[in-house]
Amino acid sequence: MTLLSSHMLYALGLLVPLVAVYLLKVRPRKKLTPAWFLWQGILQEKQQSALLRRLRDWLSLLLMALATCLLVLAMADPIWNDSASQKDLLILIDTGASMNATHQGKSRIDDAKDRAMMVVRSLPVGRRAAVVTVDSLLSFRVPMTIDKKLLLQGIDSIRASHCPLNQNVLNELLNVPDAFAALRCVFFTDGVGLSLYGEQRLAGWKGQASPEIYKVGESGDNIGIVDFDVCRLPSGNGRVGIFFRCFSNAKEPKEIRAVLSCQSQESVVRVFPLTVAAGENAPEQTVIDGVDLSRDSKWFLRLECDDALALDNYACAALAGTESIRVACAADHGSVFIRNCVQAFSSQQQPLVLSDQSSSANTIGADVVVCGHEDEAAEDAHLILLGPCRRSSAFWGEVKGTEDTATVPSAKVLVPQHPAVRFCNPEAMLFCGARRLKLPESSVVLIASNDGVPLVAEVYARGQKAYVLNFDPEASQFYLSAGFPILLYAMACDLCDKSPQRLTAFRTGQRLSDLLPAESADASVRSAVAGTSELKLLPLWMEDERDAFVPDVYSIAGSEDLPLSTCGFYLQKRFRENDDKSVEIVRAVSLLDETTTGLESDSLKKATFSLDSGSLPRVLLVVLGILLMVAESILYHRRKVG
Amino acid sequence: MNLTDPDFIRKLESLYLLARHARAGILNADHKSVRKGAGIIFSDYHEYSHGDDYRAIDWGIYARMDQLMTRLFEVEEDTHIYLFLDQSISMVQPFDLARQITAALGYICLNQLDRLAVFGIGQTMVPLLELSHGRGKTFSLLRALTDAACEQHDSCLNEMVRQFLARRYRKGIAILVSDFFFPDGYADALARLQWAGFDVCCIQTLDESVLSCDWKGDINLTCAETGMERTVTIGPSEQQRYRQAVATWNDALQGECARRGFGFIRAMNGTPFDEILTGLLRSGKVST
Repeated sequence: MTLLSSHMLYALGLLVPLVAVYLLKVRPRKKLTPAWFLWQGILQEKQQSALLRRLRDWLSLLLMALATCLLVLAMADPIWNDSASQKDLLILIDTGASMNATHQGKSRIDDAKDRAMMVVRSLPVGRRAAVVTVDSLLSFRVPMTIDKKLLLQGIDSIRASHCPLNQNVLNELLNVPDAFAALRCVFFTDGVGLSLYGEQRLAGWKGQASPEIYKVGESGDNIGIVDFDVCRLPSGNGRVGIFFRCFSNAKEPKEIRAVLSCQSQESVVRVFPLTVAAGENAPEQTVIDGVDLSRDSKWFLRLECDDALALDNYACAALAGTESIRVACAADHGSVFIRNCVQAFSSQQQPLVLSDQSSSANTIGADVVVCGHEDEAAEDAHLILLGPCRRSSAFWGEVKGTEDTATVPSAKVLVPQHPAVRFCNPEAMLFCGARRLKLPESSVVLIASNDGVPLVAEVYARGQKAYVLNFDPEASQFYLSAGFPILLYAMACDLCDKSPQRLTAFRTGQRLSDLLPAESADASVRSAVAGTSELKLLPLWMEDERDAFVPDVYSIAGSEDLPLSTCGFYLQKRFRENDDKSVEIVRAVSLLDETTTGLESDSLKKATFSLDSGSLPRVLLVVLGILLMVAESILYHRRKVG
Repeated sequence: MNLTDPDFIRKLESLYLLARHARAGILNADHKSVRKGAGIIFSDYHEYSHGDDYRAIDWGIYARMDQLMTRLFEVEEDTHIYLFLDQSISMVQPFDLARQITAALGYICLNQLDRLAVFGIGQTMVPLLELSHGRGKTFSLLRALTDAACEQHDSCLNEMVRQFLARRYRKGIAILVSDFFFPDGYADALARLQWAGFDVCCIQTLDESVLSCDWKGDINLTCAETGMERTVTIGPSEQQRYRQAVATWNDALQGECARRGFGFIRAMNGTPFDEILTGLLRSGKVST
């Protein structure tokens, strides 16, 4: 048997005053009687029970001492598994977002930490233990050690994160073969998030890892935001659409208010009186006019309600501003049509602006220059090289062979998810005049002919990024194709890293790679757009969430990016390879998790495996102790009132 | 308690007046005696014999019948009254009441010119007031009763009565003021007094706490007279049996008195003594 709270055994010292008080208590009161001879007859009959009476006193003391011992033992939280107690201990603590929920002023994570500390204190001398937390990541807080002080400090420093529990991460740990052969694992969790994969998965643990799950936390009424989005609407003057959805685990409907703010929490845009019913609620949508869309805007949504979890009462979204992209046309051919293409995407909602200068000498200041050779544009501009000429170039090297005026019979998109060609339909376009080019090694061919001739490629050279369009626009009759203006627009946006499809709101636990188009499984795409980013957490909101204000800078590199673990706004500075320029993007991260807002775990409630938490032995000991106290009370009553 | 207090004496005087008013059959000092002598109330004639008082010869009869006859007169005697005050430790609670009753009876007797002797019954019989008469002994009686105290020992009524009778006191009225909780009993003493020709009156002074038992649970029961200890668990059944034992004892005392024709009265502690005495005098339970 192992005692989870062995320090409670010090309470056995209560036996000393108990015995003292008892001996004082059982001493009979002295009473004088003038009619002693009248008592003689009564006393003679009582003579026979004198021995029983003396035994009764000692039996009463014994019962009291035994009851005290049992109750103290119950307070020490005994568990029966002797074999498990011989193993090294892995203390696994759920730090998912739901562990921030409070009940009667105490959060679930504090409850879990208290329990974990009891386990550590009850460890026998020399027994090793380690502390691991799990939410969207596994974090090894304290390595395997016998130092209880270190373990207690490690547990004390644990805080619940803003990320929901990711059971996949947990499974990776628990399903390591033979990892738990010599290891005992105690998992303190509220069970929220474990139901994502069903009870069978939990049952699977039983056979492989056998973690002892200690459920913490009490259920409480909670209302939260589970969806929030802001989008720019095509018509109107600065018109923005707002969409959000609430979830409630309360049985009764509740009337609350939702406050929408823009840029700062103080600038309230709109207040929504809501009646939140139990379960998933219908989405709320509204339109707001007069928003300055020329710059990035930060949107807050806050539910005014007092519930178990405060974290899900907030949501935020970042709407990218429509900062103009100046496009200059220095191409020899088709400049009129290219200008028309740019002007087609020049409006309040579309960022392209046509530069007035058309000659190659006056392209300074343009963000993107459409030209035939890099010499025609300034060095700090992004390039769209249209129809490579015979001159050699840093972007395509020497041109080999003659111009192939034939039309490419068929072309295919090699990287469909690339932002430049995501909406391009090559079958609707003609590609004539393609040349056989030898692109630099870092180039990414986006569209190519079946023969392998690159038609559209992303090329890095001279510290610049450029798109090379390897075809003759006029011969290709691009002015008859609707796809070409879209291709031009997408390339310009991507070159300036102002993707029109930028997401506005993200959930905690998502990785930076989720935000990038490089999420594509295609390794070539990933390598093409991968660069380095910095994320800086902006202390903008949730002033009642202490930990949300900790400014931090995360260095994200390639696929080794970290999850966005904290709610709030992030300022992302993206640095591309071979490109000295950086782009600042505001990202908004919120909890937005329905399971976490629900705060309850049905699967853990119905779990068939035993919750080896010591509760059963504790209850048995308490019941036995109470029974003994009742028996002693009967004897005491007998002594007091006969 | 100071029994020489003027208020207390004033109450005694009131009781004395009541006793005179209810004189018929009560403590009557003007008792007729079977002895004939020099009184003033004619009783009978007797033939003259040598040595008789000449003054008693009825010369009228001698003139008519030529025979010397002397007149006999009734002798008025004072009664001997003996008061016994129980001083055993069991009388601690009702002792003041017992002293007040004893003082009141003694006051009335002395004022009626009876002869009165007061004895304290303890481990030995202590004369609190030797046989005496006259109002002049009133304060002696009251001071003796004031100074009287309970002893820390048990008493034996039978032995005390035996000692009393051995002193050959004249017959009279014996009044016992006690709770009658004598371990050796009281029946033998009462029988001896009756056999010796005493008129007996028993006044049982009791405290309410003695009649019942309010104790519960484990009690270290200690005899107030002997100091014997015994631990006993008292419950409702024990309480009931104790009440029954006390009632049986008291009923037996009352029955014994009735059987022997003795006066009996039970005085509960807390009842004013003059109220008890008033009832006693009016009931005529103490008479010759």
